[in-house]
Amino acid sequence: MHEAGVAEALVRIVTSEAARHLNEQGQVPKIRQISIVLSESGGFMRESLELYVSVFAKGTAAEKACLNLRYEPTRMSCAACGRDFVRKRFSFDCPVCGKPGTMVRATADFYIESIELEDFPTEARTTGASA
Amino acid sequence: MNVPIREAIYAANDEVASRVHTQLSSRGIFTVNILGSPGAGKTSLIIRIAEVLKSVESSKKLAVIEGDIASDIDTQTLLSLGIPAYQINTGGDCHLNAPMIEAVLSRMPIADRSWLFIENIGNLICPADFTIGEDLKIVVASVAEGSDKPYKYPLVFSVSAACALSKIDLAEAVGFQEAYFRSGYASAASAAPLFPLNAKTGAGVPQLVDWLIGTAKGLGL
Repeated sequence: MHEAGVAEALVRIVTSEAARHLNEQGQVPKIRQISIVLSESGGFMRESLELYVSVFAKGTAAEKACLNLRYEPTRMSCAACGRDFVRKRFSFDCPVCGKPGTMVRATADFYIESIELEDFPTEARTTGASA
Repeated sequence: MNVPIREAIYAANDEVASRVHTQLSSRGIFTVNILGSPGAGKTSLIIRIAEVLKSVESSKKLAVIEGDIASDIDTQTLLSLGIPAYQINTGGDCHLNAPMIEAVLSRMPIADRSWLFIENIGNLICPADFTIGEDLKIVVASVAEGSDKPYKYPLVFSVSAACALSKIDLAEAVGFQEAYFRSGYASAASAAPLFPLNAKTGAGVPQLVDWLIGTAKGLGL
């Protein structure tokens, strides 16, 4: 259910954006790819997101879109040796001194970075037309 | 063509949460979002907090919004004790969101300058992702759930301003390893305080209430 609500919002946002970029035929272009940045600590799995996005995207411009997910790592700080490090799975420990670190930033960040649209005049075609 | 968006997936929720928070804080209401697993003792703790608050700051009222998948068992319990309570049934949604709270606020009378506790759906995952207009989150973790919770669910401990370690009287019986829990908690929650307590007897609850009173005053509430 967690992924369902997020997927629904995601499809709503990207299809609204696509509708602002009508192609030469005045149609809403299909979305080829959705690029998302999300926190590793947020607990979203690629497979679940893909499943729910495919459900909500059915019949929309995002129906065939693939998801490009970029996970932001959880950053930690070690009070013992003063180093900052990226958390490794299953561990809070500093990779240098082995003491437990403290999370610097664990958030539920999740944002849509960009979408890639089909059926849009390519740069070459635009350049050619203006030449 | 690549179209930049940079829109947060929770933007719509966060906008409503901000509106809810403004509405509540402008009326001097201190709002706490209570998170925890099913059976962690969230409702029992709220009841104890209400009792302690009444004894130390009799002018302060406490109201509760209860979130559950189904049933109004907890709300009925609170109402029977004279604590104003309003039930939200999500019918399957695994967390409360800000629009749900905004809708309740238009129907539920809450006294100005009171405390509002919102008991979220029993779940250590999804509720951690959502702000619902609260001043702060508190996570309730019972010793019966095991010593490894901060390692398994770091986000919920990280986003919470404090942790109530409940059912502490059962620690020995369930083999709870407090040092292991505390080490994981310190990694996930940094310097956020931890309150071992027993909601059944009330042990440890006054310390949590003292901290809440100080925090509310620090916020000007």
